[in-house]
Amino acid sequence: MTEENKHCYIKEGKLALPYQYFAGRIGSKFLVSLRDKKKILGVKCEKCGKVFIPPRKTCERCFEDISEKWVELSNEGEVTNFTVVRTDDKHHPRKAPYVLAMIKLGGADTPIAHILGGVDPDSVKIGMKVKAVFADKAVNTMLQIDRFEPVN
Amino acid sequence: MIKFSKQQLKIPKMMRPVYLVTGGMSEFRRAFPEKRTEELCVEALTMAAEMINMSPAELKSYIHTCYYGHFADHFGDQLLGESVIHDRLGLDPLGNIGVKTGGATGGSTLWEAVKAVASGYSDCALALGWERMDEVPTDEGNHLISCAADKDWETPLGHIYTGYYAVMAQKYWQVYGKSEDSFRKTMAEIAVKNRGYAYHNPFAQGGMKITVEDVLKSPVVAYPLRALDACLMSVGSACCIVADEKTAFKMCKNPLLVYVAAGTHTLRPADRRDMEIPLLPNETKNTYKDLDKRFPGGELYPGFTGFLAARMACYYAYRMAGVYDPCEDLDLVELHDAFTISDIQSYEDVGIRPYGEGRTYVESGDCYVTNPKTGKPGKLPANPSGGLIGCMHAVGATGLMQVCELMLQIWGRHAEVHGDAKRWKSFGKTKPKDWKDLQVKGAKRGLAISHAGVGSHVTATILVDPKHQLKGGKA
Repeated sequence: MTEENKHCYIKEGKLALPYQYFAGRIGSKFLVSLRDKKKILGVKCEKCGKVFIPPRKTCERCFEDISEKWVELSNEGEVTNFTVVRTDDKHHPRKAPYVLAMIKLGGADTPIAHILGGVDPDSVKIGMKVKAVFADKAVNTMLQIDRFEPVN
Repeated sequence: MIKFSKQQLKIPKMMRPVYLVTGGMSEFRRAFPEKRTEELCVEALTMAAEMINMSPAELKSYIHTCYYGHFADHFGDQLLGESVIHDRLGLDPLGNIGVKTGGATGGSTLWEAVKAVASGYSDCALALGWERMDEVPTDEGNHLISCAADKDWETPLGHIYTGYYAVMAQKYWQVYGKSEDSFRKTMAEIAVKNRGYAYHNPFAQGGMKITVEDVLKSPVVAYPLRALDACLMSVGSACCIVADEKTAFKMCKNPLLVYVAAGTHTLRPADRRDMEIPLLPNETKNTYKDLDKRFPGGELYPGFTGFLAARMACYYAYRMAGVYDPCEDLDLVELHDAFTISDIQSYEDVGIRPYGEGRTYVESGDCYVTNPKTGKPGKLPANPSGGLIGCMHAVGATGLMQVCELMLQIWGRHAEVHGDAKRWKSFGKTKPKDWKDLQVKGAKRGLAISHAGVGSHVTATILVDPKHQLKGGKA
C-alpha cells in the first residue's frame, strides 16, 4: 500500500433485490403441469406447425395467438449437445462435475437446456436417449424437472 | 458557467426527412401477474399494425433495425431483456440495441430510431419500450429506480425521487410561486386535470375523478409534494415505427413528419452552476433582462428551478421543425408530468411560458382541451392522455406512449381508439357512461417531452402533419 492510497476509504455495500417472478398465464400452466401431472406441455402454431417449448402466447413468425393450442410432449428425448461443468460455484444448482445438455423431447421442434444426471459425465454421447426425472417437491421453475437421466 | 461553442449549437441535421408510420400500446396497469412482458410488447406491436390495416407479420417485413427502451433491468434478474423481447417478436437476426436514459428512455429510443432512418442506414426502424415494475413492491421500486440518482453524494440521503423533486419544488415556489397557497392549488389542479383525462382513456392506469381538495388532503410524501402530486408506477409497452418518405407513404396514407432532439444536465438537484439562459426562437435577451427584479433568485439559471436539458432539447428541436412560438405553432403537448411541480417547471423550459410564469399556463385554462374559464377550446391542451400522473409511467414505454397519443390526435383518430367500447372491454373495463371525447379539434402539430431523473436527460419530439409543415422546417 502506497502512502497515497493509504487513506482511501472503502465501505462495504449491499444492494438487496427481493423480487417476484410472474410466470404469467401460459408459463404457469406449463409449470403446474410439470408439478402436478408430471407432464411436459408445449404449444403448437397451427399455421406454421412449430411446437414451442417452453410455451409462449404468440407465434413469433405468424403472430397467431397459440395460447390454447396445448400439446403434450414426450417425457423422453435425446441429447443434441452437452458440456461438463467442472468448476464449483455457490450459484450453480449442482456440485461439479455435472452435465449441462441440450435435449430434444419427442414431439418438440427445438431442444431445451437442462441438467443430465445419473450418468458418468465422461460417458455422455450426442444422441443418447434420456428421460425427465421430476422433483418431489414444488419448485415452480424449470427445475420442477429435477434432471434428465439416461433411459435404462 | 456552461458556455457553448458554435459547433455545440449546430442545429441537428437529418440527411432526409423521417416519418412516423404508426404506433401502438398495451394497456397500462400497476401489475400484470397473468402476462409476461413479451405479451405486452406483442400487444403494442399488434396495435401498431392494426392502426395501418396491416398484419403484424407484414409490418415486421419492413423493419430493418430495432431500438428497445427498457430502463430498470435490475428489477427482475434479467439483464439484456431487449434480446428476449427481440426473440419473442420474431425479429432476429436484425440488429438491435437497448437504450437506457432513465425516465427519458422512451424518448431516447425514438431518437435513436429516427437517426437510423435519417442517416440512411435503415429505411424503417422500430422503437419499442416497456417496463416491468410489478415484480417488486412500490417501496423497493422507488428505491431501485433512484439508483439512477448520484450514488456518491445524494442517494445516501434518501432513495426516493419525490425527495429530490420536493426540494426543487420548495425553491421554485419561493422564487416564482410567491404566494404559497394559490401556487399550491395550481399544482393540485394539474393532478386533477390529468387524472380526469385518464378517466376517459382505456389504456390508462390511474383515471380518477378528484378535486383540488383531494390532492391537498392526500398524504405528504416529502413536503410540499403529496401522494396525488406524483406519477404512477406502471407496467406496459408502447412502440413507434419510423421510415423514410418513400417507405412511409408505401406503408400508410398519412405518415407524420417526426423530429427528435435531446439535451442533458447533471443527475443532481444540487450544485448547479449558473449560466445564461439559452434562448428559444421567440425569446431575446430582453425577455429576461429584469428577471431578477420580478423574481429575485430567478436570475440564477438553471439553479434548482429550471431543467436545462429540456431547454436544450427544445432549443434544437424547435429550430429543426420550424417552431417559433410553441403556443401558436403547436396544437397540443404531451409533457412528462412526473410531479405536478416538474410539469410547471417544464412549461418554462419548453417555452410555453417565459421563465417565471409557468403557473399562468394552468391558471389561464390554456392547458385544457376545453378551457374551463371560457368553455372554448384550450389554447394548447396538455396531456389529454392523462400523462404520467393519470395514464402511466412504465418508464421505457412512457415517451413512446406520448408520441402514440399525439399521433392519434393528429390523425383525428382519438375517439376511434379511446372511445371504442370493445377496447375497454378487452382490457376488462367498462367504457364510462359519461365518456368524453378529448380529441383536440384540427390538431396538426404536437410536442412530446420525455424526461429523466431531476432533468438528467430530456428529449423533445415534434410530430407534424406534412400538409401543415412550418416555414423553416428542415424536412
